Amino acid sequence: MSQPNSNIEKYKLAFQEEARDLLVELEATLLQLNEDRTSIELVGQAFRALHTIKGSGAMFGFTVIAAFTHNIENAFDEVRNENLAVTADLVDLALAGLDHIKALLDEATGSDPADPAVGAAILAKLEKLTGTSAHFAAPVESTSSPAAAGITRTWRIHFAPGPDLLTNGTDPLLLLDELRQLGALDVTADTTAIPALADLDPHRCYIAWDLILATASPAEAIRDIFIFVEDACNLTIEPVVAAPALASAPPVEEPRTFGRRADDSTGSAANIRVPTLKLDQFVDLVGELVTVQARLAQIASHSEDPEIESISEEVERLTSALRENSMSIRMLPIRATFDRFRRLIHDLASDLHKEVELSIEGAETELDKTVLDQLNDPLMHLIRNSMDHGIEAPEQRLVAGKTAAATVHLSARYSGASVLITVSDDGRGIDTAAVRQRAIERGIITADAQLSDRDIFALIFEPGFSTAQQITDISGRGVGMDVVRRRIESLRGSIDIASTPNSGTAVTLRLPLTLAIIDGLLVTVGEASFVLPLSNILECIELTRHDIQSANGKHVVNVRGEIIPYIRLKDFFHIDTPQRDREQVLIVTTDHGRFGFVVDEVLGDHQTVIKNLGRFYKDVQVVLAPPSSAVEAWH
Amino acid sequence: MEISLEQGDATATVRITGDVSIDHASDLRQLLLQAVASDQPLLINLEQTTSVDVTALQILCSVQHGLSANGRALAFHPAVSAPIAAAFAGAGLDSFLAATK
Repeated sequence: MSQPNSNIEKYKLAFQEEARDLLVELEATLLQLNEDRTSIELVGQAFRALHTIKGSGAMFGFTVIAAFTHNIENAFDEVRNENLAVTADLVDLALAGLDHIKALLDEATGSDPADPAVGAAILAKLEKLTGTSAHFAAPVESTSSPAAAGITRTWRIHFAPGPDLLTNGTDPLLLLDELRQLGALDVTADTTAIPALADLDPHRCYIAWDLILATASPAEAIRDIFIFVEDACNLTIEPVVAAPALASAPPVEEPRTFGRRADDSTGSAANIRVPTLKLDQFVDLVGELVTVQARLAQIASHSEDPEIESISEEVERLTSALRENSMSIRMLPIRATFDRFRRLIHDLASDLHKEVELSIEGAETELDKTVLDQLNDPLMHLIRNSMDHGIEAPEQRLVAGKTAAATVHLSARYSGASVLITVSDDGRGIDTAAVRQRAIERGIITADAQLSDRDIFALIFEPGFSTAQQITDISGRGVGMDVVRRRIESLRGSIDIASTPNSGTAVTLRLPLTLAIIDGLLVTVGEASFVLPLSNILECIELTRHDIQSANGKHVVNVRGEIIPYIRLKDFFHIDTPQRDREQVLIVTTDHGRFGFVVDEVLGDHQTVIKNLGRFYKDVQVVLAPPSSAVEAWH
Repeated sequence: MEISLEQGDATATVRITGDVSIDHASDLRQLLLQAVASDQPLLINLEQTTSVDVTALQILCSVQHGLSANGRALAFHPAVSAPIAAAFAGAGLDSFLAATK
């Protein structure tokens, strides 16, 4: 039997996750609103996000968060009611408020406590801006108290929970309690739908309620109580008696029905929220299955038993489908990652006194979650560098014949088995002479070194390299680009820079679509097997003794006139096996050019699971080990 | 939550203690199915029950409807605790509680 409070804790956790998602959305909305300050739709979006955080927060006991959010929500309510205009100050205050809500959420999960002085300062500014009194710890219900509105009206409410209401974590009794806080409530329960005990689904609500509520609160306050269950119940709210003393009584509202009908059981959630850990475990298990399937395929091929071979082929087909499926579950659109940088660009532009607009392209491009999680820092470094070094001050841009406002462009697109993510700007471009000079000063290159633009751009990724004259908080410490390169390489990706003086710079990250399982090429050297990523292999050519002799013993091979160096895996891994008369050279492409790997035989395609060896092996460059079906090498 | 069924010579008693939520609804239903299967009068002891949600209330309603239809009785004994009585009243089920006295 589960713990009594496990559900509450589960819902609290769900609230925190949902609130963080809402804050991400809210941040994007606020930044858009800053650019389009008359958009009623964006104001509504911001209001709804704040309202949800407040309402859910209050429901799950996060009263400080609810009370603080309530004040910002009120400001946006004023905007909705056209009593307040959207200004840069309001957006900045709301963004600061959003940061404070994040800090309060962090505090709730055991991190450092949020600074109450920060919250108080935000509310004080908000109060000044809106001209209303803010309440740092006021009860959320205060706005809907009968005393606040003054005129009592009576409402008839029919509330019939749908089949999923209880499993969504809602207790209808709590909703009735909330209604009581609005005024006098008469409750009549309809129990006629409760079936015999043997037929009763204990997780479904069968009771419906007819309620009479006398309250001075507006209909909106009543509806707000049901805001989180609208889709999971049949709800009707209609006025019964209008106050006779009211000279200009508002028109009697039509009964409003929300959500789907209680007897509509066809609706189902389109999405479910799954903890990342569970998803990782699932993918991990699929990875194990792929490995076992490879063993089975190997045994089956040697067995010469048609029945076993047939089963093996069927398992291979299913495993392949399962692999594709599990990989697709991990794929997430890059939109949320890109959207996060709206705030960074907004804040940096303000700090640097520059005008910068963000444009986004290909936000629907999907990447493996593991890759996405690790992209934040590199992208942040690239954007910081672009904003600090690349983009000129407005007056400099005008002198250069550009618009005062610069553009940072974030784009993503597929390219074969990779995704290309580009951070570009229309700034001053990279000053190759300055980069070269700094590299000489630092002893990275000699003064007479002959370098192409591409080689010079590569210098930017050297540890500690920076051309910035001044160290700033934004960048200029020369650590950013080094971090970017290491992070991208750890993701088996690569970086390319293109830059034109006075036109701008584009940094392109090439990343594999997925990290967990790759299509590889299985090869052998003696008794040992190796897998090479198929995406890196250009072609396979034969290497004869004659080829070796004609190269004068040098480890190079002539491929249609191009001299390509190679490594013989037999020598590299000290594998004791006689050298064959005819060997195979796999020509691979890497960031450092084309290379060849000499092997004995090429066996064919092979799905390969890539797993982390763990911290213990982090300094090991090369591993030669006998796993289930193949010897694999990492470096 | 702890639930137990004691089948004496004359009555069957279901004792429920602690907080009862949707997490326990299946277990509660199962035990009550077992309890109503006997022909003995059913006593439900909610004296040590600290809170109930709607799942528990409707299960108890279902038991009462079923027994009543078969001419049998359901009684809460000893009297339910104040928070549980408040829960019944809050849900508009005070008449149900009265009918079991």
